[in-house]
Amino acid sequence: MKETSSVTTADDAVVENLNSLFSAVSRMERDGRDLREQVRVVFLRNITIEGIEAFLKYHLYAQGVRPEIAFGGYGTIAQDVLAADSLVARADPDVIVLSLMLEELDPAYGTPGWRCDSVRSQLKSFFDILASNTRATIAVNTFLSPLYPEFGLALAPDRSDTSAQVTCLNELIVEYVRAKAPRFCLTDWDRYLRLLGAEASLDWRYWYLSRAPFKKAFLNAYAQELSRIVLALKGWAKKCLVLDCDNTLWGGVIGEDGIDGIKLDRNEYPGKAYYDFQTTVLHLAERGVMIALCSKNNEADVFEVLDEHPWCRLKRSHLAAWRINWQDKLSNLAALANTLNLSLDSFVVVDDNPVECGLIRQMLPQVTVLQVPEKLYAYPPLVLKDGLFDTLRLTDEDKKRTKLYQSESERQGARSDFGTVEDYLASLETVARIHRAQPSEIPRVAQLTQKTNQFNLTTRRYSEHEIEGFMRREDRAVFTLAVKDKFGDLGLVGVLILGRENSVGQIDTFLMSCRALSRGLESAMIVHCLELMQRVWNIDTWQAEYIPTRKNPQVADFWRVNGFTETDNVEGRKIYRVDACSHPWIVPPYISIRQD
Amino acid sequence: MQKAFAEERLFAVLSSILNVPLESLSLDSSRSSLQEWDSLNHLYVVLALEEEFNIEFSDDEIASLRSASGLRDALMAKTAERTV
Repeated sequence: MKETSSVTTADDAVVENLNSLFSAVSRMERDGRDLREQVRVVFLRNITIEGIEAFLKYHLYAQGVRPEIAFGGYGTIAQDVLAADSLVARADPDVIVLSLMLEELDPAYGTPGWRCDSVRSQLKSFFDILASNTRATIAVNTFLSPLYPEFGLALAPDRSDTSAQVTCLNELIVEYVRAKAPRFCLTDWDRYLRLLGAEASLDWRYWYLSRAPFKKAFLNAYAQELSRIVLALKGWAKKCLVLDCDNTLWGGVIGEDGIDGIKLDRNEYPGKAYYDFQTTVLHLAERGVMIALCSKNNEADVFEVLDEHPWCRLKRSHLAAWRINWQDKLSNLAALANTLNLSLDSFVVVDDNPVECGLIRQMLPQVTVLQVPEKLYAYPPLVLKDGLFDTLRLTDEDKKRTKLYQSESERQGARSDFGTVEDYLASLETVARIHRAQPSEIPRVAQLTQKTNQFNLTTRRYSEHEIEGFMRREDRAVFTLAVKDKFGDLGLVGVLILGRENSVGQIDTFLMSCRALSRGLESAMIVHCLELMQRVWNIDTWQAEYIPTRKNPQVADFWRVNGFTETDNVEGRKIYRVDACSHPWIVPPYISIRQD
Repeated sequence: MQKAFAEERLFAVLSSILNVPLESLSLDSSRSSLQEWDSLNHLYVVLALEEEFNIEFSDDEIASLRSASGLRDALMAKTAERTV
């Protein structure tokens, strides 16, 4: 559960000055002592990287997470993982950060004729050790190429120059992470250096004095990226981008300037700034971020631009929902949240009007608001640069999502044609495919445990590694639910994880993606799976839990409604039981279940 | 720069970087009397003072300045040089 209220959000000015940063961090540590959300981070390194601690604490506290940070010994990566009672064994970190420099990894680095082969095999063995001996998400850095190549202008024909060797190692790292995401993720030092420049990034004085290579701008960028990784792990990535239209998607006012008068162009500035901004929106849509419009305008005027304007990249087909009318922004945002079945804290709003922005910030503080900058040339990367929507990997489901939500709008449209809800649900011709999770489904199952907040009875976050572990155990069963109806394929939308202890069955996790709710699938899945497993496992009692979070009150009553009885209440965590034999397990008649 | 003003800013930096109460600091505070003032924190003390006073310490000074009084004198000397 996210609790940002007690802590201030990150402010760029604070990290500009070490004195203010350290004061802010000790204040946050005092105020944030009781934050429920925690994360344990261990750095395994061969350099002095402790300088990052204040920056990382600052960014995590600003997001409502209380960090515990520890550092391994210099160059003792394997020992820190493998030794009995090692640092990693004691700290049981959620995230392990590898911070490695070539100078320390290979004594031969920098001598003429150096080859990367020994580092290559060292890296592979570190990665394997970490993957098989920890449960953590592992962040790996790229290496920095020499600023002054040893051959000067000339390139070594056989790629024997240091830069070529470093590039080769970096490719290896990137490919490894690509293959092992989301267990592994990248902290791209090379990219921070490009963003910030060598002068602001590298601290030669402290490098020579104490093996501390980075200046604070670099440490700050590194810490911000690590805090994004933590947020992605916690499933707090933003899900929906809500855009204003006039002076946001294009320059000018469509209602006054008309389709030929607005500024939107691939070649001419300032129209090009809007065109390039729209390109970043398309990238987000491609990643599965939902795009919505919220604008004071005539709907027809806006869609004329989307449908007809030669340079308008955003099309109707990219939109998951829209509210284009003359009502106030706040109620339109609430309506969008309702239509999309999302909570407002997964919204990012982009608007040019400072008054509207201020109003949303004040009245709906859970919404992230980005204002179009006055300097338009700085506008295009606005929605990408803070990584608000970042997840640790892309799945095919992400790419399908907008289409899925569009079908949902059609489904809601169809609803009004029917007399009763049951008639309507029956007309959807819903087919639920329920089965034990397949290896190919592991990424999606882990992703759902990490991202689902609302219909999630216990909100336990699991890595792919852990899901795989459950699937191998006799006393665990992982079920998935995939749904199709006449409007389209909703994909894999439900996960149920069961366990057993003798004759008592435990419901460890039950969650459903919000797009599949309110059509009886919840009960269908529970009924089908419990009935099946109680025969396999000889269960006489099922035990379920509801662990409340700020986002899941909609399921507070789920077990009771489904025939369970509350038997215990431990600090708000409710325990329910039901007698397996006497319970009438009934699947709603309008859903057909297939086991395949 | 006034001595008292330099000391006030010096103690503010030491207090926030070393995370110790302002009241616990005096001109006698040094790396041997304060366990928080270890070699790692010394790096940030130096950086923070350089930022605060817009000066730069030499490698030798970083190694040899080990007490609040020593730092105060160095800060006074460096800021005086600048105003001349």
